[in-house]
Order: sequence, then structure tokens, then C-alpha cells
Amino acid sequence: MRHRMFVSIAAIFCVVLLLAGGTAQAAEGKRGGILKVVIDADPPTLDPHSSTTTLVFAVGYHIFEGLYALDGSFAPIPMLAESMPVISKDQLTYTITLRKNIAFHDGSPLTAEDAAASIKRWGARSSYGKAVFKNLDSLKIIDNRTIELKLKKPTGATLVSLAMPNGGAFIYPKALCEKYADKPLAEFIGTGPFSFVEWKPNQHIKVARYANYQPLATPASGFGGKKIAFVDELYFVPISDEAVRLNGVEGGEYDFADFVPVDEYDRLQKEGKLQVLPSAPRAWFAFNFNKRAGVMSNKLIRQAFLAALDMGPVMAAGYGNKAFWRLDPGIMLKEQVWWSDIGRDRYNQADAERAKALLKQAGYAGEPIIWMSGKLEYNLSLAAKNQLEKAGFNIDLQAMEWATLADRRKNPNLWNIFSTGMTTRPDPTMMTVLNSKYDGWWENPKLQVLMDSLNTESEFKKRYATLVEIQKLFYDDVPTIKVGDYANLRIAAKNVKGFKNLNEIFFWNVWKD
Amino acid sequence: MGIYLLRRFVALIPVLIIVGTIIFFIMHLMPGNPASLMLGPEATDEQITALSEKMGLDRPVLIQFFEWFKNILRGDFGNSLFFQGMPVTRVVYEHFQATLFLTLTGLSFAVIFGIVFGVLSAAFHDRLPDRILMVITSIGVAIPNFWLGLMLALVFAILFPILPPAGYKPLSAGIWTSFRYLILPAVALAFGQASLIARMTRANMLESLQNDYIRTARAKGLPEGIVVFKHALKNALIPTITVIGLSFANLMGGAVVTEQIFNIPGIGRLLIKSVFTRDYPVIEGIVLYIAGAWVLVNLLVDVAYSFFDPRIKY
Amino acid sequence: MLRVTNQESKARGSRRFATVRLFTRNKTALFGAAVLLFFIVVALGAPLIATHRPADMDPSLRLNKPNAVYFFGTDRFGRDLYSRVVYGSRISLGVGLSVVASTTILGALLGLLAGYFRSVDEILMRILDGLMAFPGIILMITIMAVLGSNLFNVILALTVVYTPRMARVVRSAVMVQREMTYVEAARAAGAGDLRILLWHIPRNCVAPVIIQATMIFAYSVLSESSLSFLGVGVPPEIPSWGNLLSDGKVFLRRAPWITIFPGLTIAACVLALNTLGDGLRDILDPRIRKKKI
Repeated sequence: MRHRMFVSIAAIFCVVLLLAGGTAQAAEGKRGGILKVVIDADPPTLDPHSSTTTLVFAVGYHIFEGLYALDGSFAPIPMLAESMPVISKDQLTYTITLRKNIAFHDGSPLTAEDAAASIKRWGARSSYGKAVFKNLDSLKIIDNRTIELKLKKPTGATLVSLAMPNGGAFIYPKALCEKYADKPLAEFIGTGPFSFVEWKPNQHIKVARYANYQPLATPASGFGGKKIAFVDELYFVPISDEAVRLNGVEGGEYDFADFVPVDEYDRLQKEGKLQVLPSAPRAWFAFNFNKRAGVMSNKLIRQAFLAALDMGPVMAAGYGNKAFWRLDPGIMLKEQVWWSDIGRDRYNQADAERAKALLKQAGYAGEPIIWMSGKLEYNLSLAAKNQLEKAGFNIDLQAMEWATLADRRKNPNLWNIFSTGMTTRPDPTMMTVLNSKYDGWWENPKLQVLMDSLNTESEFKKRYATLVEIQKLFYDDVPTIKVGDYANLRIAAKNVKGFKNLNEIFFWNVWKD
Repeated sequence: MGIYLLRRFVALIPVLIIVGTIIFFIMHLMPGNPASLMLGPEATDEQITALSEKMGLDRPVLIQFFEWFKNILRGDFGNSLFFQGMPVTRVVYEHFQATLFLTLTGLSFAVIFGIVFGVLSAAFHDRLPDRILMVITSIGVAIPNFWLGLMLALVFAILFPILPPAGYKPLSAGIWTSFRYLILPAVALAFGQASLIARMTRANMLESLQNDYIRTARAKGLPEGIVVFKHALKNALIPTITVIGLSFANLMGGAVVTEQIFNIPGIGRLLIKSVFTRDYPVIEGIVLYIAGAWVLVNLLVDVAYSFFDPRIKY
Repeated sequence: MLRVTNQESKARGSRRFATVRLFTRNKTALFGAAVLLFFIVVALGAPLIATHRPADMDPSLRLNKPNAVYFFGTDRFGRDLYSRVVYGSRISLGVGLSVVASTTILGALLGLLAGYFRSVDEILMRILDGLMAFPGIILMITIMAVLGSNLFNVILALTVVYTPRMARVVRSAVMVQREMTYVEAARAAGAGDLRILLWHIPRNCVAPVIIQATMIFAYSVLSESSLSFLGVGVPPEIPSWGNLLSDGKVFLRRAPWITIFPGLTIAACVLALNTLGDGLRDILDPRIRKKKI
């Protein structure tokens, strides 16, 4: 008996080894070919310093790299920097040394001058850069390969800011930084595994393998580590219509698409002609209140709103297939070290009676509540509206295109609620929803105190405790409703190999068989 | 003739001015700021204000209008607010090709199928082929072309993958390759117009078949085929030609929707995208271009008309 | 004198009667009218004909196939598609009728002015040409984008686009009528411009206006659906046929019924309007009537 068990364990071990060997071999990949990736729109620019829109870096980071990048667990790891920064004892001075023999796509070598110029431009243009620069005492070039950042106060967020792709501190040649000091880049020269070839608006963005790219020796992890451009050319094709995106890949015209309708999952899975790739949960749907003016500035009414909602049916009707969403109270996602479920008793109450009582207490007399929603969140909002009306809310749900919504929400007199998505961030200080300047204006003094401590503290345990406090406040003051986490459906042709299905997409280390 | 053409050209100018002015003010009254769309969701108010200034959108609308108008007179349509500040003329030019080929392919489908089916219908008047064609063309006029487009893509690109489901290849990729990509969209686009032309050709054929000279021709013992195709068709085509001009304009409008379904980088997609991103200079450029093109096409049709029908003189 | 008028009115009476008789004999017109009437009855009696309330959601019933309870199946919210199509007829026909009414009034007014007064003609036609100078759908998209999507704006956008057509039709009819002897006669009898313009001429322009109105009705139903498809039409909570159809495009494979039934409904309605228009043209336009097409 024992003997037999040993044999089977050995057999399993062998299989595992074989599998491991297999993947190791496959990881070599095949060079050549063209990969056509469908994205949902043309990005507004390819300059991540100038825009926080997801598509900007999702295309941009094939061309550009930062000093650091985020690994699989959203922690910073070196990219263009030789190693993690040398941090002084007082936690104020960061000394960063660049890797040797790195050249930009135009052939010029990467120097400390480029890095310093890029970080300065980032600090002047990017929202995250600005936040870092507020706390920056000086930025100095020490030698040809070394820069030094000196902070005013110690904080744990600096390194993550330097590493994150969203509005991130990508490194451009100094000449470009100077030429485009006050406008978005119109030339794209970086150090990434792909170099920019052409951008035909509404048609494609084309990048090609950068022959002189120097991959890191460290294994690929998250958005960093060893990157290899297997395909010769990479096309990003913008298609705004979901149904057309799906048709395009099913008909074999394109190799990969993101944001495919999730209700197609079962059919695609069953037919088995394509790789069906549910992404990791990457964001949560939110109903954001106007706390500055109007009906929803009353905390009791916001609490009634939260009490009335039954999140499950809202997500089902609004987003579809159950496999692509989950209910969870956390401001940060379950996958992150920051996650907490405090406030779970307030989340998803589905208690219309309690909502009615709260409304009565608040003296709500049926004033119309103007609710703005873009196209993506519209169905979700409609399902929620249905529930809220049963609890006595008088909702005026208005669908509008994104440009109008983005404009109107700046004016507190025009609206009470808007629907949106909150994409996950590696650090809670970067969460839009906790920013008191974010439209909706959560200007609670308690939050200010907690955020200050989160910003200046560098020890994780203390920061985490602060975040838990913030989340508690989030469920008491109800600045925003968290509805539920969601994931994207991505599809790829069968011969696309090596794709890492993280929260954002990238195509280095991906090849076609 | 020359003077007539000149007069028509001169008459074009006020139309363009009216259109351009209306569009300019309409656009600037729209809610939405291109700067905040460029900067992304986390932009601060200061960033938006700074970029608006950079884009020149902070000045009074009237001043922007005169500036723009002055530049147009010099042939400068300005630069796109997106696409790395590409000149509007280049943006429009790059999208113009796809729309032109799509519209022309659609137009040739509409004209060829329209006339052939119209003639067949008339030749088999009140018999089975006529009845079938009349049903098909009735439906052709009645179904929304985007619905037809989605259905065509589903059937001919996915269930039976013989044609590409979406995309566009310029002529430089080879005539056949380029054409293959245009077949489905052109059919979806042209179906309605083909039906219209077929119905019209049929009606005109029936009318001219009743004319005296046809009776004479028949009495002379000419074969029916020659009577139908040579004598009657020639006459029946004159009104069809006027419709072609109108068809061209309709197809250009329909292309907006078709381009969306088949992901063709044409003027229509550019327009919709520019409206959604509030890329004012591009929208103004497109509208002026379309208005100009439409007037020119009509002018050409008038000229062609006088060419075919010698009774008409200008 | 008195006898002559009497005879004239008799002749007119019998002509009117003949028109009705022609209408009942014209099968296409009759078919079109019958189908249109059917849709109007459905729209008016929607609460009686529908089996569910069109906005009622039940997530447990989402994307059900057509069956004995849900004749046309259910949509992404588990709403009954059949009832939504039934209620949708109110919206879509309502939009069509409103557009027809407003374009007829505006178009007739402008057309009369332009056709009758040569001085107005030049300016007015320039402006109308300007409006017609680009494809309707593009003008509609622009208007919708500016004004925002609601039902009234859809009607407004369609009216702006189709009024010039109506005005042109009326204008050319007026220009023909202006030279007719009865106008001369009326003028000789002492009728002023206003009386001729608002009474004598319109009575004789009715035929082309009716034909054009059915066409505009059909275009409006189609354009409404195109606008909804492009995302700038009637707001999504209103179950217009165009919205139902464009809701379904995402489910084309998974739940094709969401696309098929509204699509067929739109096609049937437009088809009815077109055949009605063709039939009316045969009856009302004496020049074509002889052709017996």
C-alpha cells in the first residue's frame, strides 16, 4: 500500500516535472509574424505623462519603460534602474542607478539626463507625478548613470508612483522632454521591446520589434522582468462596437480582442474555436454621489440608497455572466494586500424597509434625483434604479455620452449621482474615490486626517490600519456606492501563445504558433 | 455651358459659408471639453484649464470663429486636437480614401444590380421573376442597413467564412485584396439604393415600352431582346442617371453607419469619433468637405444629364 | 353662372369618389394601409395587447428563448420583448407621426412662400440647399450630439433634416399651380395673395404632400433606428424599436431573437409605408395613373 502510494506520488512528480519542462520549453516562443490586437478606441495620445486613460499606457508601455515596473503582486521591481533604490536612513533620499548599455530606439544611449528630464516632465504633467513632486525637495543628477530624489517627508507611495503604468513615469529622451514640455508627445521614442512605426487614426497603431532591446535577466513578472518581442509587428486596431470586435476575431481577421461581451462566454467556450480568457478582476462599478450640493449631500439619504440596493441582481442585469463579477465590499481588490472586508454588514443590505425609514428620517419628499450614466454603466444603473424606486426614491436616470458626462459632472448644480468604474491601483493613495478633489467632492475632515497619515506613513502595517479606518468611514459616510468587482472577457486566436492574463493587457513575451 | 458651370461654382460659396458657420457655432455650444478627454479621468481642474488654453479653447467663441474663418480663406483648416496635432486636411484626406472606395463600390453595385434587376423585372412584367424581384426590392428599401450589415457579417464571415468580417485594405495591398474587404460592406450599403434604382428602372422601362416607337419597332419584327435592351432601356436610363447623383449622396451618408459595423477607417467613423471627443477642427473640416463634395457631385450629375438628354440645355 | 358652379362641384365630388374607388382597387395601397392601420391599433391598444409591463425586470429570466409566455423571448434584464415591441410602436409611430406633422407644416409654409414669392425663393432655397448639402444622418448626429439624447430632440433633428425635402416638393407644386388658370381666375375675381396662397393653391398641392409625408414617415422610422444604433438616438430607457434593435446587437449570437423581432417589425412598418406611398402616388398623380404600373 505504502509502496503503491509512493509510486503514484513519484508519477505525479514526474508529470509535474514534464509539465514544467514543457512550459519552460514553450516559454522560448517562436519569433516572427504579425499580431493584430483589437482595442476599444484610439487612445487620445501615446504619452502616459499626459493622460491617465488606460489605453494610453496599455499601448504606450510597449514603446516606453519606466525606472521601475510593477510585478505580479503590484510591488515595484527594477526596470531601467539597475536595482531597487538606495534609500537613506531617514527615508528621505532615494539614489537610483540606471542600467548600463541601454539605448533608445533612435540609437542614443540612456543617461541620467534623460531620466531626470523625464521625471521632471512627469512631475509637471501627470496627476501622480504632481502628487509626488509636491513632496519632493530636489531632483539631482549625480553622475552619468545616477539620479537622486530627495523628499520633504517620508512616504511609502513614491516608489509605487514611479513604477505604476497609469499616468506613469516613463523615460523619454531628454530632447523629446524639452521639445514637448507643455504639450503631449507627437514623436514616440522609448527603450521598450517595440518601437513606434506609425499611427493611422481609426485604422491602427503599428509598432515593430526593437532589434537592440536588452531584456532583463530576471524572470518575467507582472509588468516587469524579462521582456521579449516575439512578433515582428504588433498592430493595435481600434473598434468601438462590442459586436464588431467579436466578429472580427471570430472571423479570423484579428488575433486578440479585449472587452468582448461577457454573455458570449458560454457559447465561445463550448465552440472551442478561440481561446476564451476571462481577465483577473480589474475594477469595480461605482455610483458616485454629489456630496457638495443637492439631495445627495444629505448623508442619511446616501445611507438609505446603500440600504436599498441588492447588488447581485444589479450586477447580473447590468454586466451579465456570473463568472465575470463578484460581490465584495473592499475599496481595494481581494487580490491585493490592501484588501479588507470591513463594512460588509453595510454592503449589499437589500433592505427596502430600512431605506424607507432612513428616507423618512432624512425628510426626503420625493425630490427628483438626477443620475448621469455613460453607455457602459447604463444597464447597471437602470437595474439599480428599479430597486431604488421600490424604496421610494424618485430617480431621473439620464444616459449620456462620455464627453458630456465628464463635462457636466464638474458642475455640482447639474447632477446628484453618476455611474463610473474604478480601476484598481497598486496603492490606496492613488484611488480616485478617496481623492477629495474628485468630482463628487468627498471633503470629510476625518478623511483628510486619515489620508494625510496614509500619505506620510511608510510602514505597511500602520498604513493598512489607516486604510481599514478609511473603509469604515466609507461605509458610514457613503460618498460612493461600490456595486461589485468585474472582469473583462478577452478572446484570442488558438495560435496566440504566452499571453499573461493580468488586469491590463500587454504583448511582449507573446508569440504566434 | 461654361457660364452655367461658373454660376453654379459661385453659388456653392454661400452654401459652404452658411454650413460652415452653423456647424462652428453648434459645435462650440456642445457640452464637453476635449482637454478633459485628452487628460483622462484623473485630471485636475488646473490641468484641464492649462490644456484648454494650449488648445486655444479659452478664447471667446466669436474670436475663435473669426480666426478660424480667416484661416479657412487661406486654405488652412487648422490642426486636430488629437492625433498628435495632425493637420485637419491630412486627417480628412487619410480617411477620405476608404469612404470614397466604399461609396464608389456601393454605387457601382447599386447601379449595376439596380438596372439589371429593373430591366429583368420589366421584361418579365407581372410574371414570377418580376414578383420575386419586387418583393426583394420592397424589403431592400425597408430594412435598416446596419441590421443587414450585421447579418451579412454573421453569415458570410463567421458561419461561412468566405469573406473578411471587418477591416479595410488600401488599394496598395492589391486590387483583389482591397476589393474582398469591401464586398460585404458595399452590399450592405448598396442594397437599399439598388432596390430603389431597380424599382425606378422598372417603372421607366414599362413607361417607355408603351411608347409609339417601341410599338413601331415591334411591328417591324425586331426581336424582343433588342427592343427591350436597345430601344426602351436607352430611354429609361435618363431618369436613372439623375437618381445616381442622389444615390451617391445617400450612400455617403449610409457609409457612416456601415463603416462603424465593418470597422472601415473612413470619414463616417472619423466624424462619429470626433463628435464624441469634441475634436472641433476635424468636425468642421469634415462637414465642409462633405458639403462641398455633395454640391460637386450634383453639379456633375447635372452636366451628365445634359449630356444624355440633348433636349436639356443650360 | 350658378349652374356652372354646380356642375363643377358635382365633377369634383365624383372625382373624389373616384379617388376612393381607385384606392380600394389599388391592392398595394390597400395592403400598405391595412398594415399601417394594424400598427396604429397595436400602438393605441398597447396596454391590452401587451402581456407584461415593458419595464418589469427579472434577472432570473434573462435571455430566455421565445416561448408560450414570452412570445418574442426576453432581453438582458429579463424583460418581455414582445411587450416591449408592442409598447415600442407607440414611440416609433409617435416619432414618425410627429416628424410628419412638423415637416408638413413647416415644409408647406416654407414651400408656399418660396414657390409663390420669387423674392423669398432665392434666399430660402439657398438656406434649404445648405441644409440639404450634407447627408441627413450626419446632420442628425451633429444635432443630437449638441442637444443631447431625448425624444424631443430626435423629433427635432429629423424635422430639421426632412423639412427641406417637403419644402422643395411643395415649392415645385406651387410653381406649377401658380401658372394655372384657376389662380389667374381667382386673382381676377379679386382674391388677394394671402387667400390664393393659403386656400386656392394648397388645395391643389395635397397629393404630392401626402406622398412625401408617407416617405418621410418611413425614413423617420429607419433613421430613428440608425441613430439609436450609433448611440445618439432616443435615450435607452425608452423602448423605441430602434433601441430594442440596437440592444440586441451585442447578443446577435447568444440571443438572436432580440435583434430579429424588432428588425422584422421595423421592416414590416417601413414596407407598409412604402407600399402605401407608392399606391397613393399611382392614385393621386394622374400622370402616373395612366401608366398602370
